[in-house]
Amino acid sequence: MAVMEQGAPAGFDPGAKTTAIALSLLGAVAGAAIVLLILFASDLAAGWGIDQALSTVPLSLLAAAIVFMLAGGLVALTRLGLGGVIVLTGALCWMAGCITYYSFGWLLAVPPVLALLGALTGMIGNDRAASRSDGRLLYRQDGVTRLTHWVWAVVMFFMLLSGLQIFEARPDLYIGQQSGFGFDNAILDIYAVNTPNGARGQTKLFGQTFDTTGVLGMSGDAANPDFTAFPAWATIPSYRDLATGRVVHFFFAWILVGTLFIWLVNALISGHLWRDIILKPRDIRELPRDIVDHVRLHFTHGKSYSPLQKLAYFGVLVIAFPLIILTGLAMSPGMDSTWPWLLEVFGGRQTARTIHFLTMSAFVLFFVVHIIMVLVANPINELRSMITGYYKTNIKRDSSEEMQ
Amino acid sequence: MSKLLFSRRMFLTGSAAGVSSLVLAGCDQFDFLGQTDNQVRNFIERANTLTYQSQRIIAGQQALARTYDASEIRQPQRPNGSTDPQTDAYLMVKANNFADYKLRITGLVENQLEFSLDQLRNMPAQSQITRHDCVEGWSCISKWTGTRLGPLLDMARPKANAHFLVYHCYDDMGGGLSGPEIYYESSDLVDGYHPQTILAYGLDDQTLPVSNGAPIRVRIERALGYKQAKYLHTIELVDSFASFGQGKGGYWEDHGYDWYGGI
Repeated sequence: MAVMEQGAPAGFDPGAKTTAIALSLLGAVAGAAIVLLILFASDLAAGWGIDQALSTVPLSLLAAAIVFMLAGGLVALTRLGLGGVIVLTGALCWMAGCITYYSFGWLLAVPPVLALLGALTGMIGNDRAASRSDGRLLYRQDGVTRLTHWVWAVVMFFMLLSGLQIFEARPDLYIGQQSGFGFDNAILDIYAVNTPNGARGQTKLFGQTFDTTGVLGMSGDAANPDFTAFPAWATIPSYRDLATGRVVHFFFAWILVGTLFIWLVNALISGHLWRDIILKPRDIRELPRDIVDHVRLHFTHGKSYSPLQKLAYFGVLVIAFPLIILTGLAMSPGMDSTWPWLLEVFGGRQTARTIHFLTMSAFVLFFVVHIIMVLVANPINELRSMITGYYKTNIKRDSSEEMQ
Repeated sequence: MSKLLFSRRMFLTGSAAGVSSLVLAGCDQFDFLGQTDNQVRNFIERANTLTYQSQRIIAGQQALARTYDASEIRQPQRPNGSTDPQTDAYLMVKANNFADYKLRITGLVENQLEFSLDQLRNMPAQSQITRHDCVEGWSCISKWTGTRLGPLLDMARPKANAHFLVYHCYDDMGGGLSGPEIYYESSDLVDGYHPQTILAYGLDDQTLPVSNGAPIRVRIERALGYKQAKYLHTIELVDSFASFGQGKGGYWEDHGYDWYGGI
């Protein structure tokens, strides 16, 4: 950390600094211009598809974003890495502002894109320079890996919440080709029921009934509860709207499949898949020790992943992603006619739906463990490696290993 | 250094907190997507067109929906949507057991056609045991019996500019702000001519009951339940369905559901 914090280290590329600052300041100027346009020339803004009035929350977020972009651009004059982080915060603020603003025009995407490019140029330039003088700072994640990671973070958020919305239309899971109405093949059932103690939310799992009032089956305001399978905060939209849930789910499904394809091609060509994801005999041998190390919170930060990490990423990228996509397709009657084997492989449409749901649960579990591990290991270092690609190892690089 | 480290940590924590508070504030942040005229929604809805075109390309026009063994019929077909229409026109035609019922094929055709229920029943019959998939997520396997729509369309001789079939129904669905709306659906000609697309008058070897769409229900087996229009009386060939209902191609489509309905 020490070296990279000392401004511009030896061998630093001055072009990166100029580009980073220019892009960040341009982002700030573009942002300010758009906000002024909305505030004082709403007719003109409406022509660009930005037609809503700017209320306090989005206005303050957008204003904060402009300040961050401006300040970050100036800080980058002396501290490039820190300036990049501030500009990145500005870009995130702008995106949060857009989400609360509800209006949509391509113009709104200009400031965060400029700021993101500026922030990344600055942060990557800084880390690249620092890496030359610090043998432990290694380039570990290539651009495609980093980009797809963050796209998936957003995509999986929308997939999960719109998926729960879709599930809410029929909050039961069955085994087989069809749903049992005249017979019972349900393994999960979420519902609300009237009891002597008033309405309760219940969940029936493998024949066992659990009271899940407040979370499943019945939730929200005690005086005016929602009798939906999931709480309003867990679904998109927050109210019952299957049609919109489907629109959101299928849009992000396409993004997921597209980025997964890009990731796969890159991982095959660059060797990332073979090098970092596929477990080798050596990884299997080291697995027990790695488990012990993890339990003791003693982490090895090397150039590649530890056996447990490989196992987790293998599970997500090679098993869970294809599984959740194929079981999703198996629920499409159109796809079932195209690829009839989908029904054979998964044992029927309703079983496929159940597997889809279970895979989603596995993703949620992975997400929780993933976040915990990032926090426990070293959040700054882990975040940096997923933003700039550079990762601080705790073993000194041996002379034979060349930096990329 | 420690000061700088703190700032860096502060900014990262700050932005993480910003994003997570947005999430915790509730996902009503995204409720605007429920407005069918919202620009963001209209943009992401284009993914449904991509799905439709992709499935048409990889499936081809003739790929068959999965059919099942008779042993898979384990329960009555679950009625959903309208189950007992109360419109005047339907009550009138139902009163004498559909003796005066006519199925019309109109619109952009060389021959306007009209069939009584007996005429339809005397045409070559086709039975298929298929899975009915509701958009809600459930499935139910039944045996549907009827006559293929394709040969009827051939008899009507669609004009070159006929691109869609609009299925007009007897039932209405309540709840709309403007009061009850008559149910209708539409499909492309590929679905109309598909070998498994039938005008069904029988269900599980019985006469099609009112709750499942008597006297005639179209079966488009590669699509979800809402495409299987019940209480059908007219099939109109059109070049565009923009002038019907809200212009989205069906009752449920007008309420935000995707037109293709194959996913």
